[in-house]
Formats: sequence, C-alpha cells, structure tokens
Amino acid sequence: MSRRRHKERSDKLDAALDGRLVEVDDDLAPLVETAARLRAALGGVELDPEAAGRHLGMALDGEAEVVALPTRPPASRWRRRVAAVALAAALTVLPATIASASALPGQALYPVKLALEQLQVTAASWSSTWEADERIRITNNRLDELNRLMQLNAADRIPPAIVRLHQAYVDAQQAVHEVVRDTGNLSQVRALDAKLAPVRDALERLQHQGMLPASAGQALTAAIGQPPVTSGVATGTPQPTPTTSGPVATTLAGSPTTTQAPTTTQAPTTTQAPTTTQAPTTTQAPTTTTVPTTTTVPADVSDSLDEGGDGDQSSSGETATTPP
Amino acid sequence: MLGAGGKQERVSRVGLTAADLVGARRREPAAVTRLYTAYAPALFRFFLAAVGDRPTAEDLTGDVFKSAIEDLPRFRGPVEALGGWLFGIARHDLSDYRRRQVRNLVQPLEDLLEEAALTGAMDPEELALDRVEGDRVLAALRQLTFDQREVLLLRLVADLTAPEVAGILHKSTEAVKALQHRGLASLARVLGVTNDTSPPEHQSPFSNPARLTRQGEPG
Repeated sequence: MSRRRHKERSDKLDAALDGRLVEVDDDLAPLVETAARLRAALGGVELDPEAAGRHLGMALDGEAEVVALPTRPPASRWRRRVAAVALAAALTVLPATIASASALPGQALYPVKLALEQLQVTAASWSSTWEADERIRITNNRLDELNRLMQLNAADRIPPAIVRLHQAYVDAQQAVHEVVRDTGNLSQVRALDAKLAPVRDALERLQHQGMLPASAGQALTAAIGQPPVTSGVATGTPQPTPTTSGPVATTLAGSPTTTQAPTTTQAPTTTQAPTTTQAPTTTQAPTTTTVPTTTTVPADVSDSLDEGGDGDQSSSGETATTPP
Repeated sequence: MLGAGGKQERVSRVGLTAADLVGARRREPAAVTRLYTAYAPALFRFFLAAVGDRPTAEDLTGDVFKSAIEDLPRFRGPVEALGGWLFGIARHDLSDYRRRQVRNLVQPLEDLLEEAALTGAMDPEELALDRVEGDRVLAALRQLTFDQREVLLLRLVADLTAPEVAGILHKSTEAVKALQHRGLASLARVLGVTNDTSPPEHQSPFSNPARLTRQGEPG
C-alpha cells in the first residue's frame, strides 16, 4: 500500500472513531469494531461517588493531601450526600448527561446514565419517600431500555437488561418498604406501589407474549414473582375493601391485577369509581379470579410495555410492538 | 451559548465554557465541580487501564485533579485545550508512578471487575459477560507496543482527539493516526475481529459501522 493510500485510510479511520460520518469499508470495519470493544471494556467502570467527593474536597481545599490509602474509612453519610447532590446538580446540566438519558446498554453514554441515577438516588436518600420515587423512576428507565433493545433485536443485550430490570424492581420494592417503616403512611405507600404496578403488568404481558429469549425467562419470572409491596403491608394492617366491583383488569398473562389510576381510567371501561382504584392492589390474590374480567388496558398500551412511565420515557415510537 | 455581551460563547466537547474555566481558576465550587464531572471519569478509566488497580487509579485521578486546579491559573489556553492539558498532567503523573513502582504489580482484570461488582457498579450477569470480553480486550492491549497502547488509551479511553493526543505525546497528528491504525489492526488480529463474523440478517449493532460510529460518539 502506498504511503498516500495508507494516510487516507488512517484519516478515514480517525474520522470514524470521532463519530464523523464516513464510509467504512470491509477493511476498516473490524478496526472500528475493535475500538468499540476497547471503549466498552472500560465503559462500565465508574468512579466511586465517595472518591469523587474526596477529590473535590481536596481540590477545593488546597491544604488537603492526596494519600494512597490501602483501606479507607467510610465517609459519613452526610458527606456522601453533599457530594452526590453537588455532582448530580452539576451532571444534570452537562450535554453529555442530557444525551445519556436515552442511552442504551452497550452504548458509550450508558455508564453516565447509570452513574447519574446512582447520584440522584444518593441525593434523594435523605427522604425514604423521595428515594422510593427515584428508584421507581429508575425501574421505568430499565423497562424503557428493555423495550428499545427488543425493538432493535439486540438479543445479546436483552438478558442483562432483564437482570437489571429485576434488580431495579426489587430495589424499588425495598425502598417502598422503607417508606412503610419510616412513615407508616399507607396511602402514600399505595400511591408509590401504584406507580410500580404498571411495570409488573408489563413484565407479565411480556412473558406471556413470549417475546423474550429463553435465557431471559428465568430472570423475568423472578422479577415478576416479587410480591407487591402492599401485600406485605397488608399482613400487619387491614386493607380497605375495594369500593367497586371493578375495575379489575386481566393482563395478557391471565393474572388479575387492579387498574392503576389515572391512566387506565381514561380508557372506555366499566369502571364505576375510578378515583378509588389505587387501593385494591391486594386483589392480586388468586381468589379474585372469579371477578368478571374487563380488560382495561388502554389501546395504546397494547403496543407498548411501558405505559406506566412517569413522563420521562422515550417516545412511544421507540417501544416494542407485540408479535403477531 | 450566549456570553455576557450577547456573543456566542464557545463550548468545549465536554460541555465546558470559558466562564467555567475562569470560575475554576478562582476555585468556585460550582465551576470546579463541573470541570471534575467533565474529566474525572475519563481520567479514572485512563489510569485504570494503565495501572489495573482501582484504588491507585482513584488516587492518581485525585492527584491530577488537585494539581490541575492548583496550576489552572497558569493555564493560558482556551477551554477546548483543557482536556489535552489535563491528560498531559495525567501522563506525566503516570510516568512518575511507574518509576516509583519497584515491581509492576498489575491487578488482574478479574479482581478489578469483582470489585466493581461489590460496589454495585454492574449487575452480576452483565458483569460475567463483560468480564470475559473486558479481560480479553485489556489482555490483548498489553500485547501492543508501548506507543500504540498509549495512543489508544488517550484516544479511545480518555476520548481525546488525534491532534490533542499528538500535542501530549509531542508527535505529529499523522504519526498518532498511523499508530492508532496499526494499534487497532494489531488489536483486531489478537482479538480475532474480522469483517465477516456475522451474516447480514443477524448483524449486531456493532457490525454496522455507520451505527457504530454514532454509538461511539461522545455526547
């Protein structure tokens, strides 16, 4: 290869690595893929927020010394929170962070998205309710990612995404349990659980539709097998009786669940008292299967798995569609 | 972005402005935090890839950042040049660190990823998948020449441009591009990456070069 030709190819490779649109031929494609693998090899490794707080403290306090410590004493919780709040606030306004909001697993900005989520959880951890809200939002993010990965047919990235969804769901449930312990405010807990329920419903539909690879089935079963938070609450506190015979929805998976206001009440259903629909989440017990079922899943939900999104989800155009 | 006088304010690739630079020189906490947020993750990964030890990489990152904030009043370049300047300090500190090392104790990537799992950075299944791939890639990286490895780390892990890498290494941009090309070719050979690994109908997103280049694009 001539020197000039070699230079042209090096320039083209460099442009491709910068993300500029260039035609990548069969010779350069493996090199571009190799670069992506190298980026991905370290892409998931994040700087510990605790270390970040320490570094910022050292930079802002000129007298502090950087010392390599074999073991570090744990930073106090308030220091971690202060660092997290500062970092989360700073991260929020960065273009890279904004762009990372729609990042998917395997993409360069995905670790930024995860790191920001962790910072936001830490920043919200002074209030169990806020933390639960944050974790529920993260669960919805995971569901949205799963939807989009399925739409992309990214089979290799779907099983880890389901594991992540499972973990996010369990974390959110635990956070809601914390709210129970901290506040004892059952109506608040039910409201939080109502936000989480659409994720459960979507997971059930997803499994029933057989849209998942076999390897994902076990993880998904585990994810939707987690009991609703309010069922745990019910063991110690009597739950209010549903004030209506409906609205009980039947998911595609066949297990009855209650509708979650306000989204389902907009659909033309037989719901008679939609404002009370948050309470009867305990009607998931098998005994309720005798209730005449009325499918209250909104029409636009049947095409999407994330109808319970909290408003920050991607457009419906990116969600997965049901198979034939 | 508009500056105070209504003039278009330039923003660096990582989203910093000249006002951030001025603020960081004055050690204003918000500006220092923005600067840290913009560069610390890349600095940390750069050191992690180079030394293979998380606590050391964290400490080196803190060192560089502290030095940078102290030396910032002496930095005369535009905000766009900050990344190159910062990684110049990082490379210098890395050289110092290596000189101090009596023996090159490199923590296996497996241990590194285990630590990441313990800190909750990744979920177990993905960790298992990434461990295999990450281990292979970083092991392959060690088979390159020192120059090739240094260029690839600065270019792909630190996410600097070829001219920025050239400035740090005191080489021409063309030399950096050539090293990058040869380094990636060697890495591809070691990893067995070829251009016909998957049939078109089952192509992964990574096998679509056009999509890949967009995926690799930092925000």
